[in-house]
Parts: sequence; structure tokens; C-alpha cells
Amino acid sequence: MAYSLPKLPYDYSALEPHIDATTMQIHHSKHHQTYVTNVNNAVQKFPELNGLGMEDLNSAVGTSKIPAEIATAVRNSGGGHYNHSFFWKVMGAPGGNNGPSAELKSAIDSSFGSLDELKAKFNAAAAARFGSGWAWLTSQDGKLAISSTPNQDNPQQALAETKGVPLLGLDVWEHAYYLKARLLLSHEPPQVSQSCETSQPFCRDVSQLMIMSL
Amino acid sequence: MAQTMTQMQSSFAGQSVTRLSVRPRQSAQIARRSTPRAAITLPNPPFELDALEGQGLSKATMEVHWGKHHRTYVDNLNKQIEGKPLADKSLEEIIQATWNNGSPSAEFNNAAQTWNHTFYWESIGPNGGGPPTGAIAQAIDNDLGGYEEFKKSFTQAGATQFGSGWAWLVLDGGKLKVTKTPNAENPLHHGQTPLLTMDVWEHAYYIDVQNRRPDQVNIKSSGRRKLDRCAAWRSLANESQKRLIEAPDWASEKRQAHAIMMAHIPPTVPLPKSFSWVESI
Repeated sequence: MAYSLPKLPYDYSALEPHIDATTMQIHHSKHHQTYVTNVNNAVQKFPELNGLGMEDLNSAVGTSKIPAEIATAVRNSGGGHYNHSFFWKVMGAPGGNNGPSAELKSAIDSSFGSLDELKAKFNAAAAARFGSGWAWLTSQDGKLAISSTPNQDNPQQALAETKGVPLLGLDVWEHAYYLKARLLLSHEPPQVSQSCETSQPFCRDVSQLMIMSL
Repeated sequence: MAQTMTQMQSSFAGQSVTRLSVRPRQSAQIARRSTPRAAITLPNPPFELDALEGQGLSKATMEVHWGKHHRTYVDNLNKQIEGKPLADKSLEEIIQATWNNGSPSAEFNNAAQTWNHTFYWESIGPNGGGPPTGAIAQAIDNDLGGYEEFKKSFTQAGATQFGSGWAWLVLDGGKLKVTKTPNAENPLHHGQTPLLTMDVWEHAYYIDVQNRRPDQVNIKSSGRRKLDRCAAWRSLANESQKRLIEAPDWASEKRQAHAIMMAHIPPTVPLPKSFSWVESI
């Protein structure tokens, strides 16, 4: 059974004004679709991987279960498919959620002090990721942690520095925010912006969407 | 020192070929040893920001790419090195000192990206494109199987650099090679001399071609063939580069190569007339 592009749980325009519809459309129908196509192309040569779910496939990244010939393709495109599928699910339309559950709020408070502290640390992790990658909030053995991964790596993969079950993921590839950020930045004097911080307004916007979705 | 730098810059201006020669840069390096060096500066691209519109690279991209991204690397680097021993070093020395055998320190990303972007502007140009001529063409025939083969492997390198990074044509041990690097890395750390580069960070092409990265590099089915239409082979045509390409013994030429790399950082040129933040909105 080949992997397939999941439908978004909302319209492309549902996350406006935080994420514009054009960005969502290209991100989902082009970038995500390419990862799906490429991971299918990689695994179809190996029947032993047939039927492996996306989570199990990612857990195998970095282990000998993935044949060396397709290790990079599965890491990148399998990671890309997993990450984007997750990303769409942890976001929601603005105003449609009531914040974290009592249990999660308690875990956040004991791990980070407060929800605001979590947001600040999460955004800092996102902004500090040089090049392409993701910021994560994960849970492992009952502990919450914030981390970031390069490219399409994720905390599910065996090779991740900080492994865990993802609770939040934020895409900080430039394709996730560039069309909108460019317009915003054009209005600022040249000295103000900082390229690795170009994503920060996006992080602030989107982490609101995500926190509300928990 | 400030006066010396100003004099040097004004003496560079207008010398489109000789400004790439080695000697003035060496003088600059010597001058720097006795006095704290001025801050790393943002060089202007050697063409107007709208000069490549017809070749698939929009003014909007150039304004953000040069005016925001490149500028930010320079500004952040200067903030990071201020008051530290690194502040007395040249940009190339900072890159080498902070590479730290593959565990780069925080300054490395900004220093290398400053260098890479300057080199990128030098690698493309409104009068570029088409097959190269002269020594570089001969070397491409000899080492890479000809221009068409080179284009294929260069395109492949750019398209397959997963995440952010760069595609390069380099000189390695006296031979041309096509290579790629992730994020801020550049061929200097691998003992290679960069001759031509293409930026494949998404910010380099996303406004123009969104997810279609091969269009940024080169692809036959596309109307946008940046390599075909923008590659600034002319900047490789100076005598020093020819000598380097033809040099049989890489080791003895390494010092020369380093000097050329430094010379490749262009001097300050007049602000492009078309530059305007407001116009493009």
C-alpha cells in the first residue's frame, strides 16, 4: 500500500492571516506531494517495507532495517511525509480551540514554568535552526522537551538527538513562510531583519495556532 | 586606516577586470596586520538589482536576497566578532578559524554565508551565460566531459542538495569538479578553490519559481535556465584564474589560490541606481 497525500483538515485559506492560502496550497500540493512520491519510489523496490506505517518507517530511519540504497531517500522523503502530515494536524483555524487540556497544562507548567515560557523556548529553537529544519515539542518517558532537527529529520527517527513522541512541530524551511515573510519584510528598513530570524514573526503566529490546537 | 581603505576602494572602482587581480588585496592584508581591520562590509552586487529580470532572477528576489539576507549575515558577523581577536582577521581567515574541523562555531555560518553570497553575485551577471570560452572551456572539456555534461552535473548537484545549500564548480588538485555543500559550508574547507556557484537556499529562488528548484539551477524543459543565461564566465577569464586552472602542481599554487579567493571579494561599487525598497512593494 503506497503512502498517499493526506487531505488537509481545513481549507487552504483557513489559517489566514497567519499563513496565506497560496503558501498552504504550494506547501501541501507541491512540497508534501513530492515527499510522498519520492518515499513511495524508494520503498517500492523493497517488499519487506511494504505495509510499514509512516511512524514505523520513521522509527526505522537510522537503523539497518532501511536498506542502505534507500536510506537517504527514506530519511529525507519519509521524514518529509511524516513531518508535513503531522504539521497539518497540529494547526487549526484561529480562535477554534481552547488551549491545552488540564493534564497537558500541568505538564507544561512543571517542565517550562508556564505556557508563555514554552512558547518563548520553542520560538528560540525554531529561530536558531540554521538552514532548513523543524522545531519540536516532544514527550519522552513522561517528560516534555523542546528540540530542533535539520532538514526533514524528526524526533521519531532513531538517529534524532532528542527522541520522543512529537506533540508540536513547526516547519522552518523557508518554503513554509517565504512568500508571506518577504512581503512583510519589504516594508521594513534594510537593517531590521535578520535572516535566521526571518521566521520569527511566522513562529509567533503559527505557535499561537498550534498551542490553541493542543 | 580609514583613509587607506577609502583610497583603495576608490582605486578599485571602475576596474572591472583588474580589480580581481591579486596584488591590491595582498596590500590590503598587509595593511590590516598593523591596525585593527574595519568591519566586514556588504559589497554591492556588480550589477543592477533588476539586471537579471530577463534571465529569470527578479529584482524582488535580489532586493530581499542581497538587501536582507546578505546584509544580515554581514551585520550579525560584525556583532559576533566585535571586540574579539577574530575582528582583526580577514573574512577568509574567520571562515577558516571558525570551521573548527566540521564543528563550526557560531560565527562560521555568518562568515561563510557572507563570503558565499559575495561569490554568488560574482558568479552571475547580465552579460553572463552561454558556453564559456578560453582556458575554462578547455578545462571543462578535459575534466568534465564538456559544457553539456557540466551543466547536467551542476544541475544535479543543485537539485539534490537536500535542504539549504550551494552547488559549485571548483578546482580540486588542479582538476575541475562539480560539488555541493549544505547550509553555509563552502569548498574552501575542503582545500578546493570555488570558481562558480549557485545558491539553492529556498530564499534564492522561492519568489521566482517557488518549489521548482531545478529552475533555479538549470533545466531543459524550463524557460528559466539560470546557468545558461547568467553564469559569469567572464569573471573567470582573468590571467590569474587561467594560470590557476592550467597549473599542473596544485600544492605550489595553493598560496596563489588563496590570494585569488581573497581577491574575488569584490570592492565597493556604486549603489545600484535601481535600488529601492519602496518601489518593489
